[in-house]
Amino acid sequence: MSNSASARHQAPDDLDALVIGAGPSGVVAARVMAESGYRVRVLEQGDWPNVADYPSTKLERELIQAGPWNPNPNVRRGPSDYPVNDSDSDIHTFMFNGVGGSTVMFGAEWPRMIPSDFRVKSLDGVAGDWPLTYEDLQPYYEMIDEMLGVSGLGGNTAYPPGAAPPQPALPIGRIGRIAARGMNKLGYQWWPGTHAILSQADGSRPACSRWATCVAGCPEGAKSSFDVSMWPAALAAGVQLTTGARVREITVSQQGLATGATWIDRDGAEHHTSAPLVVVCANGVGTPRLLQLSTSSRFPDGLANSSGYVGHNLMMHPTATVLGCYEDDLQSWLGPIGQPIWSMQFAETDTTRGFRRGSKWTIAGIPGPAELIQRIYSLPLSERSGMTGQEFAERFTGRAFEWVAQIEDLPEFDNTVTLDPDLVDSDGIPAPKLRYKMSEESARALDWHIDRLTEVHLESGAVFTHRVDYMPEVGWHLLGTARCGDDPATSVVNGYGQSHDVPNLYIFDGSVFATSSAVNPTSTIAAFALRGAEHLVENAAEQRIPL
Amino acid sequence: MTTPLTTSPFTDQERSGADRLADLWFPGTARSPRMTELPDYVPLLGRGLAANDELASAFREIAVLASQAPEVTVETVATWPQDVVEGAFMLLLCTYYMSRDVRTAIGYPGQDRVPVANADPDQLVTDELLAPVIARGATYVPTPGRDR
Ligand SMILES: Cc1cc2nc3c(=O)[nH]c(=O)nc-3n(C[C@H](O)[C@H](O)[C@H](O)COP(=O)(O)OP(=O)(O)OC[C@H]3O[C@@H](n4cnc5c(N)ncnc54)[C@H](O)[C@@H]3O)c2cc1C
Repeated sequence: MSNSASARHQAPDDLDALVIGAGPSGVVAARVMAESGYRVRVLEQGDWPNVADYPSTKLERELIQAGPWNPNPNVRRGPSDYPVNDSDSDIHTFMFNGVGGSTVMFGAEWPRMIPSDFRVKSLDGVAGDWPLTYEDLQPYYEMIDEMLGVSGLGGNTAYPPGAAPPQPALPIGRIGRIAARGMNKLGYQWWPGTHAILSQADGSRPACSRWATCVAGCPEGAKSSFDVSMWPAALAAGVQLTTGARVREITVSQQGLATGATWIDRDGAEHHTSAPLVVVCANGVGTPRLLQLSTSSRFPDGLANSSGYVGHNLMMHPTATVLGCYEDDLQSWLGPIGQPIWSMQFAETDTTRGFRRGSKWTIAGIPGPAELIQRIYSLPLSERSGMTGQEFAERFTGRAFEWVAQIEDLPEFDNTVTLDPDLVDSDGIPAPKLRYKMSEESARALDWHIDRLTEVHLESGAVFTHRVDYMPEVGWHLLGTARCGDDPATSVVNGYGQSHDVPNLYIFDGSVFATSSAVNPTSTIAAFALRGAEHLVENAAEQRIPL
Repeated sequence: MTTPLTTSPFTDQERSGADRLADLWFPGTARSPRMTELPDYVPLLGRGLAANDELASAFREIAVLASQAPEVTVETVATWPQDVVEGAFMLLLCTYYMSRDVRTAIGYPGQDRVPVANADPDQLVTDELLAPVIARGATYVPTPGRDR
């Protein structure tokens, strides 16, 4: 890629900061900067989501979700999407490209990382420590919870003390009660779910109506998809948003400072936007792709990559589930779909189990009979169809739920995002290629957890259980490919998301994760972005910018 | 994309294969209706086909094979390309449970608005249920160098 020397001759765009990506990290950063008086523009390759397109309330929901509304961009293939070569990856990526980013499709499970997650090297002698602690992030977690209206119950025994979520917890449902009883019999920790979903109306946004179709797009606006929960405030603060703007390259000056970005509109026309600060929020696959696309004589191996860590250490959370079927009517089609109750009983390291670090457990309902039958996909077709299949659905629809184990994935240098030599997106820009092999240790952890989850179901009274050993189609957490750290030789950004190499370039999305934790990442991504953006604004006087 | 079709969305050959697959995979039980006997069988199938092009083409491919086979049994289907068979089954599965008659028969109300404010007591957490968890105390390992 050329280093756009011509960019320096273009008229400045009269901005203080340019943000790439309109997902949670992008909008949080843009909002904070705009509320501090910065003139901010966000470039987003996708569009505003349209509730009318959501399959959630449609009769053919599952079929639409399996195609045009699939979380895998390679299946969905919308105009906003870029292809991802995942032929060499044990897990396939999930993402939504549009205003709000992947939260448009997310389950809104809203756990925080635990203190030990930030100190894996010190405690377990593996991976790395983060350049910040749980305590550093805690006030930002709490601020984000307030901004979104997070619901949950205070006092979770898996966490240090702190403010309770601002809204009461959602109902745990009959599935939550039966699962909790099993957990109590075994003496395990569990807690009612924390969700980025309103349990009480807030302004124009209503409370949750338990559709259980969160991942198909919330039809109510109760889920904190960031297009509805954060973008209105960002726009009110003056953030300029350009949709249909696919960034091809971050441009740099001869002094090695970022000068802006070159992007392509939907008609294929190329534009350049100049700004003295560039913030990349394109997720754990989009960000390394963009940095690798932005080569120059000064940065021949990709922007901000003197460490050689850009694109390495991809972490994706291997996941396994155990379906449990019960005789009781559990109304398991009721939402919220993710974590009505959840457990951090096995999140911390205990090496007697045969692996380090742990897993987060959650229960999840099964919205309907077709989804129930899909859960037993690994059985022969003859056992899922005919009278056998129909009788299974008759007996267990509304009477089944899953226990889900999400494994902490330790960073492996050879798990990578690189540029594919052949595959390109609709604008001819090289697509990312993934190489991701689940480690032996993660595989052992999955087996161990599946056995435990089966025991919990049986303890709760399940009359039939079925394990789904590992699921290739759940790469929804894209982490680690531009890790944060104190040492520029082994990390890409510092604890505030500032590039070690390019001081006016920031990264706030999940690529900064030094380790993956076992929990869903978005509350940490948002809190990190908030802290980083606040730090950036407060230290404006020291900020180096291109002249 | 979701407009119900009133006319058959099939060629005659595809329709005869579709009927045979529907009878094999959803033959009906003492409680649930047979798929081909659903009053809205054809419009529902049209709706299912319109919702997902890839699964629709898998379904059409298997329907043609089904129309040509002397008999359609579990054993016959097992000799056809399994990926495509799975696609066809997925389409018919989702379509079958779109039927109101089927949902009523199995007691599934379908996804709908059920406000949290109306939650029944047996859907809520209780102090009693949480008491043992609280009694066991904190489970987290504190950040090294900091007190719990
Ligand atoms: C189905 C699903 C379920 C999930 N469930 C949960 C959950 O329950 N809890 C949880 O914590 N997390 C969940 N996640 C993950 C969560 O959505 C992500 O962690 C979060 O959205 C990441 O935020 P981000 O800002 O880093 O990136 P994203 O949300 O991915 O946003 C990045 C944005 O950048 C844009 N972009 C990328 N490249 C370019 C470019 N070159 N030019 C212009 N724009 C670009 C993209 O279009 C996108 O809009 C789920 C995700 C999925 C897909």
